[in-house]
Amino acid sequence: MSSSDKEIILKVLDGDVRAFGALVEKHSAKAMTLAYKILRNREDAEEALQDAFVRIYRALPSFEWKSSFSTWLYRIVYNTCVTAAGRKERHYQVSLDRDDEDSVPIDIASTELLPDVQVESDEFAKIVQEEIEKLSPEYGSTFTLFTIQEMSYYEIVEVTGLPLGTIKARLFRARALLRQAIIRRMSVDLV
Amino acid sequence: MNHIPFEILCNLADGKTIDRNQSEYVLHLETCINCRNELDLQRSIILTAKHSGLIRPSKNFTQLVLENISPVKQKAWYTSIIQSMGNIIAMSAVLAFLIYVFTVVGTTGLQIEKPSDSRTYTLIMQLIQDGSQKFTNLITPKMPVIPQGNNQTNTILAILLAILVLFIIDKIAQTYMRRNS
Repeated sequence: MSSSDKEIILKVLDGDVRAFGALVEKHSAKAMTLAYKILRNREDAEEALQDAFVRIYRALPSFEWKSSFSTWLYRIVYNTCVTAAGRKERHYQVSLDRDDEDSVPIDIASTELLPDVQVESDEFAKIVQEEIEKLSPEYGSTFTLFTIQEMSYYEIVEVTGLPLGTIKARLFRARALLRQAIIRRMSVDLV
Repeated sequence: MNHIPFEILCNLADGKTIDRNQSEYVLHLETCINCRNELDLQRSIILTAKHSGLIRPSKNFTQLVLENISPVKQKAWYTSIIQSMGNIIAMSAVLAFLIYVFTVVGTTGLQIEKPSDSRTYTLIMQLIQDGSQKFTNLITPKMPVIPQGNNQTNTILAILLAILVLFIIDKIAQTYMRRNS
């Protein structure tokens, strides 16, 4: 946990409610990105995130200092969003909790030749962002935890409560899907 | 050696230690342009994703969260009275006037000077007085019994009663609004 988080938490626990605002300011953008990936709607994501931060505030006295604060925070955000998604559409709940270990792997032909992809171009960045947007909630949320929150596999396991194999499979599939979509689009653009 | 498996390439792109064959993969990467491109692509995807724009909540988000977590401070009992004093005085004046009309004037009848030269006017006034009397008779049994003969006392009592009624209404409205918000 970064020392500034700890300082803020100590202030909040001392009864300084306004200090909690600094904690919200610090984590809200990354948490909102995760919430949006799960709920796919700005208003729903913001509502769920607000609910999550209220829960975090209430649960703060029971936070055990052994684990990372951000992992704990994102676990609450993730669970609140998954519950909100489940309330909105039942299939989200099933989809987000589904075990992907046994799903059919995406075939990546090792002999497939890559087109000349200009990875430093603005167009490449635009395509990557658009394709990340298209990922399903289960792949999008796992990929966001890995890239935006910069979490390890084990931290993602802690946040989502899913088995390590599922997390690895989801990340692998998300990356494979992105790769395929990016190559397809870049190839079309090159023609 | 065949091309490096995609999963291994992903791990290499993330900077993870692979297995005992790591040195073989490194050697392969030096000679295979396709695997090198794959590795570059994976690194670039992750790097671009990391730097892609974060989705920020609305500007007043933090304020909304703080409003939700801050306990609502209980106002002093007299604050609400002071705040709504203007309304209470205005409404009690109206109510007091109405009560005064129904209890005092209503029972004795309106004393209006009638012009002697207008028969139509006399007729209309008679109708109004009759209507007023009937309406008063309808209302009077439901009104609290007020001692007759002292108009000043009646007026004061009416004002006090009106203030009490309005204060209760105001309290109920405030409680209802607070619960709804």
